[in-house]
Parts: sequence; structure tokens; C-alpha cells
Amino acid sequence: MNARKCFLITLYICSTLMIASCQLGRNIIYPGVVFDISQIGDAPPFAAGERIRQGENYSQEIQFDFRQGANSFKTSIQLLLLIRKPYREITIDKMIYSSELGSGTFLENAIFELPNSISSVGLSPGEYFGMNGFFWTSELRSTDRRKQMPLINFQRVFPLAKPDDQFIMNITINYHFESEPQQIQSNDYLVRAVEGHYVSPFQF
Amino acid sequence: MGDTAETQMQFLMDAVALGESLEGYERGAIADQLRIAREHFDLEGLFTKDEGFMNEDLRDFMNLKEDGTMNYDIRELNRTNGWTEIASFGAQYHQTEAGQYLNAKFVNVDGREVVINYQREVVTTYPDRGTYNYVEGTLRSSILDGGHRLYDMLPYDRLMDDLGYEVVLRYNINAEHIPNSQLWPRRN
Repeated sequence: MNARKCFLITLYICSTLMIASCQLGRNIIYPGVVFDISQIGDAPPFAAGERIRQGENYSQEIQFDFRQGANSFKTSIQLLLLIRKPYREITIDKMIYSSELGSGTFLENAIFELPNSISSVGLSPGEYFGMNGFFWTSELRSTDRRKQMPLINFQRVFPLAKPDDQFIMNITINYHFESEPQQIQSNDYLVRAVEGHYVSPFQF
Repeated sequence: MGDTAETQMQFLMDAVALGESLEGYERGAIADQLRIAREHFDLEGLFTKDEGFMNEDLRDFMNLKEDGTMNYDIRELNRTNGWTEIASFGAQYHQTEAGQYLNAKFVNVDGREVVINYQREVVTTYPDRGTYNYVEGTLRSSILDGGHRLYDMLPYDRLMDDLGYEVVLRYNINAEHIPNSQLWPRRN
């Protein structure tokens, strides 16, 4: 690494830390408001093994996992499936949200390929975790690069939300597996707005 | 906490022994009390006296959840509860046994650290498991021979050597600033 590059990296790190430490970086290098989103009510477990063990206890076959990392402006919405047949394809016909602070569409007409093999011991990419007549996966391969599962900046979705605000968001998803009939699932989520803060990337 | 490392060590050993004899939220409450006290730890003295206790017994105990277990659910690891998932670059020490999808690392403002694999399950075994942090990781404390390096990173390296693990550092080289969990289901 030459001296000029070393200097620029050092300058970048120092200026980033300086901006972060005096809050000037709010909404520039870290989001001013972050959103915790959790399903209301008796939600099934997320962990694959536990979900399969408790398969009979919950009829809900689709779950959403909302993940927003440190200093990240965007939240990824991931789909977790626990189904009774190892389908090869799911189509999200429509995924819409509504709340007192706004409503809209997250995704529509998106086709995802599902895993094509089954494992009952561990789990590798491209496999379902299958046991006791249930099949778990969170792995979706989109056939259209423009129609991935959403990556949402919720500060833009809910621009009026302030730290400590709480409200309900409903997500309704119309979907079908392969050529089977369309199904509709609707769930309420508690959205909690939290003050954002800069998180050091050096927490090894 | 006592003033000397010896007094502190005795206090911490007694607290862990008491905690281990209890169950559930009572055990979790003791771990929580120790986390509140961590800023008063004489880390240099304590590590000099008994690195094994500091690096394994106490670290593991202080990493416990409120219910006294390690049964963390990824949904609980949110900002409201003090948790943040850090970027791929910061999670590089926890990927030795991860497959194509790297593990996600969550840190709490109180020092706890939890690693979750892409099946949304807690990784509880070395070398990839989360290890409690006595000192918050920053540029100074992690790189420039500060407390995080001395009392969290180097003791971990020594423990892995003792246990015979060869730790493989991995992060998403094209997305080092993105949390690993955001890349889990995206194969394209």
C-alpha cells in the first residue's frame, strides 16, 4: 500500500469517526431513526430446528424476518417458509403494507425458485431442512434480478415517525406455490421507532 | 466490587458459583448485575491472576440471556433491547465453520455478543460462538492495543490455540459494510 493510499484511508477513518462522535453524521453515515418490527401475537419460532419441532402448533406457513444492521439505512425483509410439500417455486403475487402512517406495495409478481433437495441433518445452500413431514427454508432464488425480496429504507416509508413512536403495520401477502391456488396471509406487526446511533465497525 | 484484583476475583468466582447453582431468571439476574459492574473490573489484575476463569467461565456466564440460558431468538436481538447486528467486517472471527452464508454477529451495549447462523440458530460452540466483550470494540481499543484487543481478542486467540482450532477469518469482501444476515437469502 503506498503512502498516499494509506493517508487517504487514515483520513477517511478519522473523519468518519469525528463526524460520528459529534452526531454530525446523523442521517449521513448512520440512520437517525431505526425501526424494530415484530409480529404481534403468538408467532412461530424462527430457528429452523425449533420451527420444525413445533410445526403442528402453528398454521402460519410464511414468516417475515426484518433485519437492519449497524449504520445501515435499509432493512431487508426475508421470507421464511415452513411447508408440507417441498415445492420448487413460489410466486408473490402481491405484498402490501398499511399503517396509520402510510400504505403501499413492497413487492408484486415476483417468482422465486425454492431449494431442489432435502436434508434431514444439516443445511447447505440449495436444500430444504426437512423432518417430520415439514420443510423449512429461507432460501429464495429470484428468476428476475429486479424482483428480489425487498430492501427497504423505512425512514422513507414512514418519514413522520420519531424515536419512541409505536404503531401497527399490517402486511398482507398474496402468494401461490407452483400451479396451486392463491393463498392470502395477513399479519399485524408492531413497529417501534428507535433513536439511531453510530456503531463502531471495529467490534471484533 | 473490591479494590484489589484478588478481592474482585473472589467476588466474581462466588457470583458465578452462585449463579450456576440457580436456574432461569435468577441466574440471568446475577449475570446482569455482573454486566453492570464490568466497568469497575481491574481487567489487568484479573487476567494476570486467572486468565482461564476470565476467558471462559466468567465470559460465558456474563453472555447469558435474561432467562439464564443462551437460547437467544434472532427476533429479540433488536435495537429496543440494546442489540445491533454489526457489519460483515466486524464478524470475521466467527466464520470458521460457516458455509456459503456467513454467520451474523450481534452485539449488545452491555457487552454481550451472539452469533446466529443462517438457519436462525444460535451458534454455541467454538470457534464461531459469540464471546462476551469486557471492553467495547473501537478503532483505538481494537487496533491500537487498547482494552478490547488485550482482554477480548488476544485471550480468544490464545484459547483457540489451546483448543487446537485454526480460526479462519472471513467476511464478504465486496460488502464488508453490510451485515451478513442481509445477504443470507440472496444467491443471485
